Amino acid sequence: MLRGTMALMIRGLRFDCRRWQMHALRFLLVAIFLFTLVISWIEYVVSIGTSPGLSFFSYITYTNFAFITLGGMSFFTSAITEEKEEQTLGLLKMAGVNPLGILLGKLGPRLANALLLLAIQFPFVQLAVTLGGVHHRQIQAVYVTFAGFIFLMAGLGLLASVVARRTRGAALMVSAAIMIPLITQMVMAIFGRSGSSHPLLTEAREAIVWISIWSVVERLSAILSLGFDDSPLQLQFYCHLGGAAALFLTSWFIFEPCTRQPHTDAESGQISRQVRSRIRLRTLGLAILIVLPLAVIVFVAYPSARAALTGQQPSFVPVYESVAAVTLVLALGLPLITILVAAVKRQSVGRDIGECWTNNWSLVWKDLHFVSGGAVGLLNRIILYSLMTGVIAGLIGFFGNGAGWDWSLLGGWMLGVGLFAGTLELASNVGRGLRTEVQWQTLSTLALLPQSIRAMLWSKLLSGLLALIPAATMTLIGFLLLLPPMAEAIVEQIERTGSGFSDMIGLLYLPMMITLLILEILLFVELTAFFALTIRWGYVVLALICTYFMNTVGGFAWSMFMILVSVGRLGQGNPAGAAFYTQLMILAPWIVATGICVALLIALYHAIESRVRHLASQS
Amino acid sequence: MTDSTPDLPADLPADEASEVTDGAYRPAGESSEVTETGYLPAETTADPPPVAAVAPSDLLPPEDVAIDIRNLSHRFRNHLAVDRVTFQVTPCSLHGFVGPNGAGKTTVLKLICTLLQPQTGAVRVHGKDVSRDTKAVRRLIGFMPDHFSMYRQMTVTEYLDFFAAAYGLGLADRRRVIGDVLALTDMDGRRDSLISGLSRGMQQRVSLARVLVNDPDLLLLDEPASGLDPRARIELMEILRALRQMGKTIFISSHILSELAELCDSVTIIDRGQIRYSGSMRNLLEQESDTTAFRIKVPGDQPRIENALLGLDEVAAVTRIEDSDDYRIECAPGSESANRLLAAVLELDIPIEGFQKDLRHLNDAFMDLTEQGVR
Repeated sequence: MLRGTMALMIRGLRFDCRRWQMHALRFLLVAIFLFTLVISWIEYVVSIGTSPGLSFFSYITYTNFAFITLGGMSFFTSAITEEKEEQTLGLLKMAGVNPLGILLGKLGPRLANALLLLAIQFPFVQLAVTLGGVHHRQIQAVYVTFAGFIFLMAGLGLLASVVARRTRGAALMVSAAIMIPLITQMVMAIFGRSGSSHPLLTEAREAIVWISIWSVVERLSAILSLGFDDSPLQLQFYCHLGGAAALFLTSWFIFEPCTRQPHTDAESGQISRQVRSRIRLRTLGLAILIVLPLAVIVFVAYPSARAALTGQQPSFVPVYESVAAVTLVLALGLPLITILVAAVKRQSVGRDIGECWTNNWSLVWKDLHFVSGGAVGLLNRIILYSLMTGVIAGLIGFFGNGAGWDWSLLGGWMLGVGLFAGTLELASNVGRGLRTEVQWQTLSTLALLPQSIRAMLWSKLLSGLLALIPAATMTLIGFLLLLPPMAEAIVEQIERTGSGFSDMIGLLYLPMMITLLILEILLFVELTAFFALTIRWGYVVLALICTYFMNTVGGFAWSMFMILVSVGRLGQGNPAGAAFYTQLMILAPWIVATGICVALLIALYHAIESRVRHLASQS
Repeated sequence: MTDSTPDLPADLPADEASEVTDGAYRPAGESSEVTETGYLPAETTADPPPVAAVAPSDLLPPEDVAIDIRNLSHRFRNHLAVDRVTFQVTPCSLHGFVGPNGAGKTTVLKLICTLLQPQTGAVRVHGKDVSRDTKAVRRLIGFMPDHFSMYRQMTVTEYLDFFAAAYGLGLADRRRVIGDVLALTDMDGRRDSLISGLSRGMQQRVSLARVLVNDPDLLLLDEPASGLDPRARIELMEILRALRQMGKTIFISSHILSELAELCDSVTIIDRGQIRYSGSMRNLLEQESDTTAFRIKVPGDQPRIENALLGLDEVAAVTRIEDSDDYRIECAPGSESANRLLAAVLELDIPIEGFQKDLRHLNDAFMDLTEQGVR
């Protein structure tokens, strides 16, 4: 066993050494550290931060947390799935490597790489002590916390990798494992608030914190607080280490049953095919037309119905209950009605000739149906976003301050969640659309179609946007709910201010921020598309890390802005000069950030096109 | 230049020469003595025998040929993949493209189908330059790569419908074309099957059907028979023959030389980026043969046959083919007629089971023209 395990480990380490992506990732981390150092120094210079050492160390700590969380979702999750996707797991078994050997051999190099990446930082962060505000004990405690966290993520990733057939599925499982404890904890908090003070509930909440990754956040904030003098080894470390061991043992235990049947596209494809073929866009459209009036009726009639049941006045029925009822109707009623409509229409398993849209739209049709999931994918997303809205409404209802229902609060959450989920979804769909072409070597055939490479790329974006309809609807509803207070604020601003240039800037602030946000979203999508053409796994995560890096650069731009603030103080004696500097302070960072974003967007677009052309000629 | 009407013995057509046998299917030039080691030429040296390059005077005007390649070179960093290549492919022919691994076959194919841009030289398809008229060329060609370039989660119909729609075909045309190509490739019964569930041979047929949806004049097939079982391979060859009869020009790159020899009218052999031979298949198989030779098959051991044959005026030499009942008869100068020789042999009252012209096998020609060693 030892020989096989060692062979796998050596192969893994060699492979990682040869991959330029690994070196690029390390370089990125170093670059971020350098920037954090510069930012801390600037903050110190402009007198925002009082202790540059603590500021520098805090930045590094949270960067590490983001890297480990995002890295864990892609780096560890491909441990076994990469062998499944390459169909080499059977060969490893035939070579006599037992499950434990395979697990150790595949996880070992990844774990070693991650721990080395952490260990190598340790001497450099001692600089924070020299800069002031941090004690050696705090640094030790943070790195011990991270070591435990890495082990937990490795165990989690390994288990998901054993269970899932593909890396994408494993990454989704790990994401769920990160998010579910948070949601569970919130739900338990709601129960606690509503009067249930059972000691088991409190203990369960605490247990969830300590076994999930969220204990890291609590632990880090405790370590970084002033006057920390605890031992570096605390409950979080032991919990995560124990959790990692339990996850590893579970992976070992279920390895054989989960990997016994070789995965074939035909098996899974045939099942999903049955469902997919019978639910089409028109079917879904018809079902939505039926459900929407029903949802309106439920929203209007719910307070009266509830009042009739409980004997209360309809006006006392909380609004969030009506919202939750509507979302439940959408989440449960829509799939039922869709299935009914599909049954009535009796769609054939295969699509008829002529269902594909023509010319350039054919590419959009293909990606919408076979990458983004088509009508079934849209239906799933409608269910998901409806449930999310219901949960948000419920949470707002429970946590509300008792001053009555606030639609704008719900609108804000819906806007935020819709925007975030929609961005991730768009990037993921575009990336997957391109990755699938590379994986199935279809770029050469697509390149020979009458459509240009650019048209193909635009069709990928368009299909991604079409698949975004549920998220976009959620965002739009959120925006509409936010619109009245926003409009009020704008009118107030106009009435309060004069007609000077500085007032105009004040009004332009919101569109400026929205422009920058849209540019950054597009940049994230383009980065995902580029990485999808470059690396096999974890392209969304890498794009997220790069966007984070660019935000750090954006933070640098912000620091420059703060320098201007201090310069602006020089003009305080002269009101005209102060106004000029204020305008400059708002405009300068925006122009710099927008310029950088636009330049990067253009450069990436050409890089993606050139990469597609290159891959098409190679495949 | 490709010549699809090779010179034949005066009174015996090539087709007949390959079929005067004991009834069994026996392609011209196929012999039982050919073994794995037998293909190796006795004096394989680093320098291949000099081959007549395609002379500029032999080239037809680009508009008259399906593919016209002149002085084409292509380099990948430090590696010269294609070196001053010149050859032509006549319309409505089945042209084989042969070469060892790394010889530059796929590069040439990708240059023809516009996936790569020529660095020097010119490539024209039906008179249209691939660099300047890329879109027009793409309308004329159908390229089938050496791997399965397919969307495996689609059904056969969805896959073909997608490509037909991408080519801008109207609904009526799509129905007709997809029906036709499915019938031609014998995939009509599997039209609703998922591609991922099809066998390799069937996937290859679907791939071929996809190439045909836009009704291209020129088909570029890269290793279409690789990985197929003998039955699927034979069926594929039948489809290709049918396509040639429909007036398509087929440019086929393959390693399966025996099938190419039987299928193709013309052939181009490429080695280390250079053309070693381009012309008719028949000419290649007859090349470097000073004398005309025939092969007869007799039942069992016939000890007197060798002397009897040598006694004929038409015969210059007789050699028994090792481990077989075949004899190779070299004709005397001036007596190269197959009919005369056959008549003379029949007069000897020797039972004959087969009689055919003795041609070099394409394998021999390939080995003679290409260099030894892994590239």
